[in-house]
Amino acid sequence: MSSAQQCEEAAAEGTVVKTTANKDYYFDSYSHYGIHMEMLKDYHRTTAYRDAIWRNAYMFKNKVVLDVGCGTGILSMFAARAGARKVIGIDCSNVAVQARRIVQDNSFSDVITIIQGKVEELDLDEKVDIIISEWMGYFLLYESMLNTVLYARDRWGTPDVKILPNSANMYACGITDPQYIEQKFDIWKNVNGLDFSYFKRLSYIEPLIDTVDPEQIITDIVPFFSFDINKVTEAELSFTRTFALEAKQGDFVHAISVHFDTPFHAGHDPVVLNTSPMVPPTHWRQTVLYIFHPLIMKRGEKANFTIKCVPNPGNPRDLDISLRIDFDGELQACHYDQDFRLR
Amino acid sequence: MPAKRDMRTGAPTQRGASRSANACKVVLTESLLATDAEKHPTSKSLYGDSAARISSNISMIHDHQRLRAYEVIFRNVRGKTLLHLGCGMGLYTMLAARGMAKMVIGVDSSAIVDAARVVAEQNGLKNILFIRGRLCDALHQLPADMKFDYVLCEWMGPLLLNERVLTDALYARDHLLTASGALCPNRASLHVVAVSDYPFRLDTEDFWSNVYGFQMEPMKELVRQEVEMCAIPGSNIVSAPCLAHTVHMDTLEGLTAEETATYEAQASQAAASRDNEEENPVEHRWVPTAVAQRGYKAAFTLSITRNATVHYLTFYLDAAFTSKTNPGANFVLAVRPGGENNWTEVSVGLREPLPVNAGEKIQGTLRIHTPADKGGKITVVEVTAKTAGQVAAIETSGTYYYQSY
Repeated sequence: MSSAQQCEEAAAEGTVVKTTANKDYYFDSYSHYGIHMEMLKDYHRTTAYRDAIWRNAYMFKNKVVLDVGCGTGILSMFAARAGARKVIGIDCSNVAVQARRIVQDNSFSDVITIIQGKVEELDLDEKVDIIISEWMGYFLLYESMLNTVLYARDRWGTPDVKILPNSANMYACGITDPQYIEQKFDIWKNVNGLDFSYFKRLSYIEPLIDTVDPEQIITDIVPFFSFDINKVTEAELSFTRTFALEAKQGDFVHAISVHFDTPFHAGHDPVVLNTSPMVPPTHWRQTVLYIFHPLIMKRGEKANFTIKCVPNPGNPRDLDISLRIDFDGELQACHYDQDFRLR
Repeated sequence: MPAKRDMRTGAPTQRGASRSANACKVVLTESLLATDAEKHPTSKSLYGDSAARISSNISMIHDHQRLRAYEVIFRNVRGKTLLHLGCGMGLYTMLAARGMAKMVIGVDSSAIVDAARVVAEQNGLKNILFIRGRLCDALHQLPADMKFDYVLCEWMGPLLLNERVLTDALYARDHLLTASGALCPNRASLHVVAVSDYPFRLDTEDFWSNVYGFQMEPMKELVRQEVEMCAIPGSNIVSAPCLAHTVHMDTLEGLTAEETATYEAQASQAAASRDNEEENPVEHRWVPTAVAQRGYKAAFTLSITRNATVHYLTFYLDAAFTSKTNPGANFVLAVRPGGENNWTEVSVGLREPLPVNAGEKIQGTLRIHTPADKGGKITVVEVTAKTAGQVAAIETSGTYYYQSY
């Protein structure tokens, strides 16, 4: 998520930082501060990285660290303060200009080097011992920089390179959401006398990124996809998995809420960055997939799901998600497929 | 006797339960799969095309002020032709078609028009045509020599002239209107108010002084130079609004001869290629019109309503339509600082806060223009403001950048 959009924008613009007049400087160095502020103010996200680094500072002593998608340079400075011998922060958006000055202002110029560019175009003197990156997107994989991290791992990591975070897990649960169904879906049935039902249908295809209230959760929370970042390949990120959800109370299941966590287990002292609805919201919130036919579940009943997630063929940053739902309850039987597009 | 009673109560219960269970169980097997058309759009095509997200169109349903304003057009559209530039989801376009217009054409770069086309078809509206792209991409699809009685277009950006559809509006005004035709709305104004918001200042600017123990001063400049778009609570507004500048579309300078030639060349090219559906119009590079590049200058005077420190100036946009032929069709989309407005207001952070007393006047100047570089995405706002000196004689100035996509 960090700088991914700005990477795309900077790449599209072919922007290169110039040492020119003040006015041009502002235009060229212009990058929206809001996205960086949002991530930095996500206390859980930032302190998870900080604590994973500082509570395992022994791991950083005299090591070479690569920060993929460094943004403002915050993770690079955490690593430098932990005792790294050398830190390379790379970001292809113009925030690299600010990051370079920030590093200088905090007296890390002799340790941290900020490079504006793509990881694929990197040219380093030596292999790196540690790779840190905040690569996670919404739904873990949407607009994620994980592919870039994998490239960095294979191209620049030592054989036993440590990656922070080192693994990722995705979870699903069923939620009830009658208010949103009424306000965002059913509202399209009649708009000033016009039938906009087609918009209601299209609404189901768009997952919603929003905060899920724990009280909305009426099933258990189950893991459905996990991987080790030291070993995973890009092909393995396209996945099909099955999971079952059991109702803990009788209610409608209007949507499936998906969240993730990323353990930092490379050091001896573990830290986990968690985006569950059971903990205070991070800026990732949760990804909510509204299902076409809400399930009417009684306590103890189980629904089976098969979820398939692949990058969109036309734009790999987009995700095509397919869900197969099989439910045979006392009050309802549902057997259908639904496509979602995260874009 | 007891035996009989038992038999009677037992049988109906069993029969009822059985019937109830069978009747309540619903079997659902209809799937919702993406169609081929739906499989085509991707983030690259949605990047900068937020209108293509269904959820972003819901606010239009609730925009009763706009609907009431444009309704007077829909009530007078019978037998007439209407062109809607920037039609989005096509709600107003379809309401015009339902008002028995002779022909209605909706044009928008957003992929949402593809969905609007389906809705129009499902509502049996046959006098309507939706075209995805810019107006110049659509010209060859119009009947030859077609003119419009109405061109509906919100050509005004948050800073008046910084909306990219302005180019299309000017071309339509000068080339596509009937003799008595009207561009609607045809007037827009920018209003300025003084805003006091110390917590927001701390939260966005001073935040960077200490980020987890590190100072990030260079980020403050990004904050200071940004034109911020967000609603301002009424409690933070400390002056009466001042009308700073008005654009009258009836008299606004049109496209230059060169711009017109470029526009028509693009139209010819679009007619020749016929591959418009495969391109993504949103990604076309845009050159602001000469009138937007030149921009405008304005002076403003703000009467302060209470003792306060002014940290921000906020700009509100209004729009109005004055019909030459039908005064009953006039409307104003008015400004209500602190309330719900038809456009989200934008603010600039004063480099130096201005402490002022109730009754004091802040005087200032504006220069707003949209340069051609950066694809017209950046609008430059130059502001000066000074107090009358009742608390302290302070003059501050700053240059700010508004970025649109």
